[in-house]
Amino acid sequence: MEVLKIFLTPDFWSSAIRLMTPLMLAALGGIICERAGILNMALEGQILMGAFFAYLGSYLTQNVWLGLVIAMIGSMSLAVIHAFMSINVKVNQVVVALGLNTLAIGITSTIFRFMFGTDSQMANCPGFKAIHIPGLSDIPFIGPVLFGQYPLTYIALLALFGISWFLFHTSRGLELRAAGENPQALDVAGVDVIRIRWLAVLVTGAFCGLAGACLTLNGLNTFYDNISSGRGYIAYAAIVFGKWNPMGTTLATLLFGAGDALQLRMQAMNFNIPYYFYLMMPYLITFLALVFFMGPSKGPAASNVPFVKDKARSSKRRPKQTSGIGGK
Amino acid sequence: MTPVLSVRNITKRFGTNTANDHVTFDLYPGEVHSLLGENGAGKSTLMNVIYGVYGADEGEIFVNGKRAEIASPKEAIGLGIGMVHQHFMLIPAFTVAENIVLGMKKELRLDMKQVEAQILEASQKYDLHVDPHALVSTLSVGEQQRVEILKVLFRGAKILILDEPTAVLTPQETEELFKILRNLKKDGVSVIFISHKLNEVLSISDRVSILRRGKITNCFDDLSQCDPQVLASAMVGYQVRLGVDKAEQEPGETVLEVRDLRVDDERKRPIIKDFNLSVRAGEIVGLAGVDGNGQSELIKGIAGLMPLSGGKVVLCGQEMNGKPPRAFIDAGLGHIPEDRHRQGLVLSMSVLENLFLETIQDKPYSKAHVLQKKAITEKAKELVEFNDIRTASLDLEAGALSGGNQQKIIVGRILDQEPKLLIAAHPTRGLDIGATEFVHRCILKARERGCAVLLVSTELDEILALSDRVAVIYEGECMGVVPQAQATKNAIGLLMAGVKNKEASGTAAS
Amino acid sequence: MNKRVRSVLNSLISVVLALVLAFVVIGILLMWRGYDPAATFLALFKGAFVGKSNLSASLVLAIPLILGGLGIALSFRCGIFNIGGEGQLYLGAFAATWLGVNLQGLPFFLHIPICLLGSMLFGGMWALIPGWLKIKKGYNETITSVLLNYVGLYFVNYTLASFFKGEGTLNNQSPKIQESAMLSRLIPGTELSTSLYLTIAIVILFWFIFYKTDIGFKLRAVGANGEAARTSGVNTGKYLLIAIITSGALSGLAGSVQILGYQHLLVQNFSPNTGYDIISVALMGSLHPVGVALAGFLLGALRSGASVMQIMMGVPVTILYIIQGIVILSVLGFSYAKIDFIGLVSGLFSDSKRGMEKEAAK
Repeated sequence: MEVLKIFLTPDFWSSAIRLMTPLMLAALGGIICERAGILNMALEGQILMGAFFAYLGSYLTQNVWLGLVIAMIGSMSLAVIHAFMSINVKVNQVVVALGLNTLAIGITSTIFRFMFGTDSQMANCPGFKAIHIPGLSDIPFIGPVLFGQYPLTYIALLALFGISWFLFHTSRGLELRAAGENPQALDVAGVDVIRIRWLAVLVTGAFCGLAGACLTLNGLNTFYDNISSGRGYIAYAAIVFGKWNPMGTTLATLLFGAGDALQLRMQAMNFNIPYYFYLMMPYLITFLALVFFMGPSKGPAASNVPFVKDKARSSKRRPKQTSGIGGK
Repeated sequence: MTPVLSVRNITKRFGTNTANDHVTFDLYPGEVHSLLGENGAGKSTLMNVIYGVYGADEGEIFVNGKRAEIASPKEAIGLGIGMVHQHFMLIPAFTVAENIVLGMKKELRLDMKQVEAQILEASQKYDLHVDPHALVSTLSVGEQQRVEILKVLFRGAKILILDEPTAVLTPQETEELFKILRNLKKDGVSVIFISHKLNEVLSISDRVSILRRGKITNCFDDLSQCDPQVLASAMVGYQVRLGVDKAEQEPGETVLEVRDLRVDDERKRPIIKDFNLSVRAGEIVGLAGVDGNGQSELIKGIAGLMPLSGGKVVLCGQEMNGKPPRAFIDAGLGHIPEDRHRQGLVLSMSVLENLFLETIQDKPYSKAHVLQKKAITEKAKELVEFNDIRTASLDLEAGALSGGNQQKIIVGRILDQEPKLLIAAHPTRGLDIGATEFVHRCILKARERGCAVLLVSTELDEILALSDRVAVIYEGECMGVVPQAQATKNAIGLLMAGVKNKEASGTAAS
Repeated sequence: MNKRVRSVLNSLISVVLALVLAFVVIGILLMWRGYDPAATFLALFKGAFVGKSNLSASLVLAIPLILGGLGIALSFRCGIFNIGGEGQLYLGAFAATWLGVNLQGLPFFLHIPICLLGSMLFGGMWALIPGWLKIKKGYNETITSVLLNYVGLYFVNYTLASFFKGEGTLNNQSPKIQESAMLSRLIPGTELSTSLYLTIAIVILFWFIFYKTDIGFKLRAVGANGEAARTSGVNTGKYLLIAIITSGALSGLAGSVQILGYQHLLVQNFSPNTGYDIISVALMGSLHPVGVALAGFLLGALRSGASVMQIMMGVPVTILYIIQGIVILSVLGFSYAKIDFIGLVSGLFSDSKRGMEKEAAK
């Protein structure tokens, strides 16, 4: 089978890793937020904001790194609303995310049209270039796959180890996880739950900014409406799939990246199937993987449960009803 | 001697409700000072003010003679105040050591090996044996409580607040806890002991203060003059007689028959193991046991809310296995569930709607699926009046009512259906004495009418007062069924702790 | 004041305030880009409400939003966050078009109902997948339903590029449906069809079932507290399945009324983002059928007005999504923060003591 040969080429794996990078960044960021007890369905909107502001920033400053900073600011501005609404106002975290995703579409498409007109003559911005790490990139197979990537891929790999260490080997990581498991216990231990959750949401926003930047600055160097096209939801699926663990989640994003790479390769092979069929594949693969290989899994116990300081009273009046919103 | 903790004129209001009204309270070094009061008297509020969870509206707190502003638990911990909450503040997914060290370390890096060694040392020092490496979810309730106490002492607490610590313990485990507390006293730790159980308070305390409707009404400095009767009267503010009136009555035919019942939890672990029990018409069978020994699963199994993995439930002669909850109700089950907010009421729906959760589809309330407003309102008015449910209007959200009135909605609507079997699960939990008396009267009235009653409670006094026979559940097994005459506190206590004696098992066959 | 009137007024005020906030934000954006906000908003308003053709265009756009919004409201109220409206809508439209094209020789009074029911069936079944996975297996329905959106959308696009492609056209579109499957026009020269009557009937029926029957009673109980409903003998699984299937069926209907009403054939991306807009409608309407109808009309009008505005003023229609986002977030914020506008206002007019008594009476 010709299709199977695809898996043996370093080219395929290289592009799988390139395609998984935005998912990986968003999912790793999402883990932080989820572990702190905030269900983050707004990854999608934040990625979109990141993608647009990366493009805009890079275009206006003509500097790709400044563009990256602006991307993070852009996505974090959405995260600020998210944090305020879900932590302070205590709105249902799924529903608030739906509003944010709509807002993100509005902001990005509108400013894009304002800046570049409706019949957009694709204005290109400076983008990242792949960095070949000297020495390492000459290793056969592994070299081009792992060490000839865009800078954001290396950042994602660093983030993987950084987040794993932070979550499981530091005091602050312990506190963060406690905020997601039993915020009341953390509160009576004298730690400020609200502060931890705010910081977690903001950090997630920053990661989504990086994820969005992958979409616009890694070779495409422009923007189009709704460029995130569901990647935020796939990243969330990867978190569930990876059981809220950085390593597992990364492997899950690799699966989706590979699915995407395969789909692109198959399109090029001309099987005489309309390309919509291939476009459908990554979503279908994610869905089937979730349903058949994963099963329902338990997230952090207090995910999507707002922290109410005087819980003793309020829980009497408002018990947690209709459970199971957050992958539980 | 200066008190270690002195509370002066503390007032705390929630909206228009004054939970603490100019409360003054002293705690001296090395004493156990109990705070006794009914549910809703303001005990927990006072403790949360001392612990910095709530800010007081008025008043001052002095620690070791110095005025202290306690704005958060962090500051309370810094002042040497530690609190063990009634609902443990532990994270089941974390280890003992992780739970203890949580929030303590300033430095970023966390060396769990070192922490575990320190905890082991402390646990030996205080004689509180726990395995630092164990996951909290694998510990028994008694062990979890030890972790909580150790957590507080590990932070250097000299003032220990225990909020209803015995609610989840067997009489024997309670003795164990008291031994620990007496040891701590010797080390100079002062204890505030919160409870509504009179005998326990008398046995452990040096002094007792009574809190009623937010005010300290009495402070007994010399307990040799006190007996439970005196404390109870002080607690409710009028003369109470402990105990209920119950006429002798010959039970009728068997209504509920539970044979070799097995129920597994979601993870397929057996919770209820070969449980046998029968309840006859016109008798009350009390099910005693420490919380968390399978009572919830047993009730859900009998009420058709959880699948059975073995055995059978026979209700009024019908085998009920595999039938949906509706069929149980149709066969004559009335169920006052253990958690009225989660299972008994829809808090966001109105009082009126909550009165018809079971019966809405029946005539005359619905005709051809269309609700009959007139019939519904009339019936609702009748129920509200009959059960003395105090509500501003029928359209008020059920969540806006007090606990007692909420429970009256449930008890009222269930008993109005004249069930043949009544399961009353913790029917008076969290209620004041007035509402408790009402619920007890309702249960006794049902018995007179010939209803079979299964009363599940962790309050041994309640079980012993109402029941004709007492069954004991321990780790999902029936430890025995004892007729009321032979049911002494001691005998039942031993069974609740899982100790089977010959006498009890001899009567279990009945 | 009657409690119900009070809560309705509060919802209305919160929506109005949210709209004001949104328009202020948009106004600032417009001024930044050198547009005249007043003229722009006037164009938006005129395009939405003034004139027979504008008003009917608003209604045409409102109809699918109301139908789909009702479905989303139902599923949200039952605690199922079905955000798969987009996929359900496309599959519904696909089913209706396929039946409309391939069934021949039927009288209209059979053909139209068959097409509508077909779309409801397809939409309902597509919603049943995430619903069933949630109820029976505990899967997060938000994520499964959104993934199925993309699968459904690309699947329909795929059919239009392959076996369901109309002959003699280069575009990826279906053949035209039979005359007998077309809904008749209400006003000649506009696209408004009898689907308006259908929509009004469904809103009333929905309201009646939800509030005046025991089925609705149980749906509401299951949604507000499933465990209590189950304990009191309600078959919660059954009612949740009813809710999710109905929700999908209404989304499917939101697709098919557009085909049978005026589009008459299925084009790729024929109704972009409607499946997500219906979520906005449901939330803006406080998940209440009448609220949903009003919110759907409002959003339909804004959409129709915005296209006029884009032509006249050159302001992109995408500002609608900003409005939508701000309105959803503010309405949610107001409702969760339990801000009582009536209380605030009456507090301003009466002395403080009386205000406090009112607080106490609540």
